[in-house]
Amino acid sequence: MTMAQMCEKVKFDLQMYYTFPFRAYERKHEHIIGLPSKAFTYELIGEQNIFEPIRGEVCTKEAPFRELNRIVAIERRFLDKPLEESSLKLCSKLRFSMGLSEQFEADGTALANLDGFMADLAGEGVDASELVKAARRRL
Amino acid sequence: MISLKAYMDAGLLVAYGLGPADKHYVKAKRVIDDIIQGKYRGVVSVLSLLETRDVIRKRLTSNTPKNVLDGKSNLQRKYYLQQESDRKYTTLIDNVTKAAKAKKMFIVDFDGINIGEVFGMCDYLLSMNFGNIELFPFCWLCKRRYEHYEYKGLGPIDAMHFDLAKRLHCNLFITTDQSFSGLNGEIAVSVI
Repeated sequence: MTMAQMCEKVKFDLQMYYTFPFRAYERKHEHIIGLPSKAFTYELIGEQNIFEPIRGEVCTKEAPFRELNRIVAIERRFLDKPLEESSLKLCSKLRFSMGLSEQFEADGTALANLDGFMADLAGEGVDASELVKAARRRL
Repeated sequence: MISLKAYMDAGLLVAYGLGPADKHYVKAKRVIDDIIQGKYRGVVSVLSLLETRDVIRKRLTSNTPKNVLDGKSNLQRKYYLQQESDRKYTTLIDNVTKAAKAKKMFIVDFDGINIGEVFGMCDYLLSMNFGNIELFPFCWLCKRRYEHYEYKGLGPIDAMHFDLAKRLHCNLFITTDQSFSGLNGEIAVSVI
């Protein structure tokens, strides 16, 4: 591959990456869930697919809300799950690097709220167990 | 339940980390409160955190009154400002990691992404977006009157933030930087 061809390819890949309207794809394709087909991607960016013929036409029907919900659920399962895991690992690293304990320390605000709450109820003849329950709810 | 992902730019974290002294604090806090309430999920990148740490150091140094630093030796000044900025940054990390552990936020890195590819995308973004030319009435260094034009636009780190937000399929990009407004499109850019 010559340098000029390589530049063209990079330019094309970038264009494809930046012009791919994921939301439009979700709206238009109620039947296809998963990765977009090559044909669809090429059609979106207005280029003739040189590798395979375009089969059929792009569905222009609006996807119902439950279908969108399903797409988002799938996206979350495949993308958000590993994100959550790596996020928790990074949390530990960051807390360690800043000298924060791995376990959650007592929340100062919550304790202040509790103090205020106890002070409000002091001397009002409230049952102790009820007080503890109420405090737990507040925390 | 659908929850949108909102990428948080460093400017937002700086405003939140610096507290009420920052002019964007109220809006930044509102965004963080919305995330804590589960209106959408926040995405904080390690790149944003690094930039935030740097900006907090710079802002605290320039915002500390001169008379507070005047009586100190150079070493004492450095120690004082390091303590102050680390205190702000540690509080921010504490809050962000608590939110991440409660699954209200994601902390993300460029793990597994080819850095050459990232630079390629940044080059593309920078070549496609030319910023604004703005007139400034005074010199930034001596603060005297000096009318001159300056270029204000997207920088390479900004482009890296935007690229990462796209890779993570974020729906919102929340920032304090006007330079991003030109990128409003596939990701909704919200300048607070």
